[in-house]
Amino acid sequence: MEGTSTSPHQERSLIAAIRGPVLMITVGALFAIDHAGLYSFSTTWPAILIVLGVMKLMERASPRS
Amino acid sequence: MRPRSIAGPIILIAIGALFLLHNLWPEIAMFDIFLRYWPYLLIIWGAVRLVEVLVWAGTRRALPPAGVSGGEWTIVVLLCVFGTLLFWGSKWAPSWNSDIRVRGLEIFGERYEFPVSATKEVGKDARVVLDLGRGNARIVGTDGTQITINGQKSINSYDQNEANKADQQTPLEIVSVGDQIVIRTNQDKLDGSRRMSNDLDISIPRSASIEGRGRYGDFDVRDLDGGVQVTSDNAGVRLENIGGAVKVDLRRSDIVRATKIKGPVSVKLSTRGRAGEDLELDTIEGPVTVAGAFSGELNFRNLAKPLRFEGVTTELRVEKTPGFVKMALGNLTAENVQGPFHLTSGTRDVNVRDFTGNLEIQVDRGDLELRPARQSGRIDARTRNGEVDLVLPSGAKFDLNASTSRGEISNEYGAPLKLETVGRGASLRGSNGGPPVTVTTDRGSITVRRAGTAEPPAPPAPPPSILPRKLSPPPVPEPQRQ
Amino acid sequence: MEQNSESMQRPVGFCRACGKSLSQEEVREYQGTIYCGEHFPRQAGAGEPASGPAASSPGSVNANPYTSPPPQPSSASVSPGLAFILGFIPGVGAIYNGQYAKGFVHVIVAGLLFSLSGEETGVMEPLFKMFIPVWIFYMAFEAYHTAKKKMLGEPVDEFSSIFPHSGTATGFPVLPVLLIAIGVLFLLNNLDIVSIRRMMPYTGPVFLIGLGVYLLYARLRANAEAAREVSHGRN
Repeated sequence: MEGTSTSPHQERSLIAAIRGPVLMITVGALFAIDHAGLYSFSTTWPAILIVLGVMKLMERASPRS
Repeated sequence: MRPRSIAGPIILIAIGALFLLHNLWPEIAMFDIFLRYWPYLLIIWGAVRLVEVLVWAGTRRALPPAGVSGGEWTIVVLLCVFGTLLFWGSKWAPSWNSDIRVRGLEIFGERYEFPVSATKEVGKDARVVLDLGRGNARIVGTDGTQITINGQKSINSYDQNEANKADQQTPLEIVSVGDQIVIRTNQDKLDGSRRMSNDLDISIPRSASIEGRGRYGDFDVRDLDGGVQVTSDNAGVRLENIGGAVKVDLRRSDIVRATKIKGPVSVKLSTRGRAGEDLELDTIEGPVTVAGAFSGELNFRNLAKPLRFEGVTTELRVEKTPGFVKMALGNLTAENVQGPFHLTSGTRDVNVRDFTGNLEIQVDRGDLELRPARQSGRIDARTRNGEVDLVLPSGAKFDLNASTSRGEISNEYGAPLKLETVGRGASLRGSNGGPPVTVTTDRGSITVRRAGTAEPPAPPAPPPSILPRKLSPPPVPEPQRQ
Repeated sequence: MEQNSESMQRPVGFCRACGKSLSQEEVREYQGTIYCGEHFPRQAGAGEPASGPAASSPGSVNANPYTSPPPQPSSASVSPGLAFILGFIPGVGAIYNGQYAKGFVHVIVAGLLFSLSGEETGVMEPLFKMFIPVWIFYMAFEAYHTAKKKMLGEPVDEFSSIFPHSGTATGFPVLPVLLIAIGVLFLLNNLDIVSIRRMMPYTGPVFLIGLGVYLLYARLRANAEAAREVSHGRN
């Protein structure tokens, strides 16, 4: 417990901390795709929901403290 | 201390570098680059934060509760909103984009003005081409045989020397090219991102014809016996007293007005977005063709030949318009027109008064009010969703068939019309041996009335129209309700 | 005293309630948020994490006069009334409460409702129109309650009231699965692979069935847990 007690903490907050940047990259990528004329953002926005859901799932899946 | 992000400083450095780049090489279209590539800013920003968080985690330092702070999200949302708006705005309206750049330059540079003038002897029936670029032109037909131009040139520049140089690069010329006389402003010879415009008063021989090409600015043409053709990215066009054919081809426009035209008139605008605003055609002796998307008011008055209009969702054909046809966003009013009158439209309230000949109307949504003149032809009017008000002149011959799938019909005309309730709708039929008159609505009520004998033919004035009906009340059978 | 000087040297985080810097041992975590021993929410009850240090440190923290916090900390500046008024503007109430992500979601939902109710050919437009005032008032009251909680110093979770934490109780990840499902559905719809409009008549029943299955799962799971606890108690 003593030596490893920080790691579950660390891991959960790591995913929480990653969430913002990942979301930002996703949004940026979707807009880039939009501006390149491949798929419009109005088509691809649900991908943001999917990414959010996956992040949440990962948060669950990581070991709990 | 909790580690602080390096993203903020990096972005500051990047913005500073961009401005430096812009000042070093002003011809690089920074605005366009930003418009196209701003999403990559988000990706890079997110990646920086991601790497940072991973590094912090790797070195076992405390992590922030959220990788991206609320303030940062606010900036991101603003970036997304403005980036998207500007990107699409520039795509739909390329001229708008360049306006922004002009405005931006005006902040830095100053406006220098130079007088311009030119004269050239040309034949009586010259074919004149005006290559204007940006700026306004007022063209008047006169009795002479020469072209005279007076006006001024505006150049945005940082200093007088540069402005003088730009002035020398762009002389105003009148040259003969083949059988044409070309007036050139030479604006395309200007280098860099500098902008200029010409404001010209041009007089040309009355019997000449003119073709104007522009990018941004107005064309006013008056008193010409020849034809007029105007092509521009964005222009207001005013034409008066033209003997020949008129052809106007614009991408965007705030107004197109043509009065007293003897030849055919054709106006074509982009069908994208709100390309045009107002259109006014008055006293046209030739056939009229109009196509494009308009957001303002369209006025047609006194057209001797057929009118043909094609909008985004609206199509209109009128054989002759001694009176007027007026269209605004969501409605159409016509008075004293001759059929065949044909209209198909999306959402529009339609009011047609005092018409003769055949009439055919089909709208998706909107109320219809029809008042045929004494001698009208076949009528076929349908709306999917809206009320219909049909006012028949007394003594008119017709074979009426009015029906609604959901709604009531009130018969204020009386015999020989018979009302029938069908499900949630109703139908009204009756004939006295005239041409077929069919009015249909899927959802909405129908009223069939008799135009009062004392009723003035002018627009409905309620009191007189009610009085005569009260004097001679027709035996209206109360519609049966189920 | 020795522990105190150590914490002065290496703080690893800050209490969300009072802003005190915390050493590794002093950190208490509740639903992803860091608190000091003083402000660690007691409601967490039996599921309290890291109970080892918690037993030893509070005494030492309270003994320190510098770190003893005022009873109503900084968040008392939040006004529920203002939050309620601002809550009528989509997202602003939540932003006032410092809940940016929630504000974002509020704006998105409001925007979706507005755009869906404006669609003329839609079959569901009256329903969406009815939802608009409901959602507006929901946002206002939600902001009010959150602000009140903050004022009283109670902990608020970012998505506390948008989605109940019932999923946590059963261990079934409702929110993530729902998010992914909706995302996939709309993506397929936008790519013209399936049509949500044509599926509309079926969504109601399917949703009900899904809800039923989930509730059944939760019930069974709770029963099993209760049974296990009983058997534990016997042991």
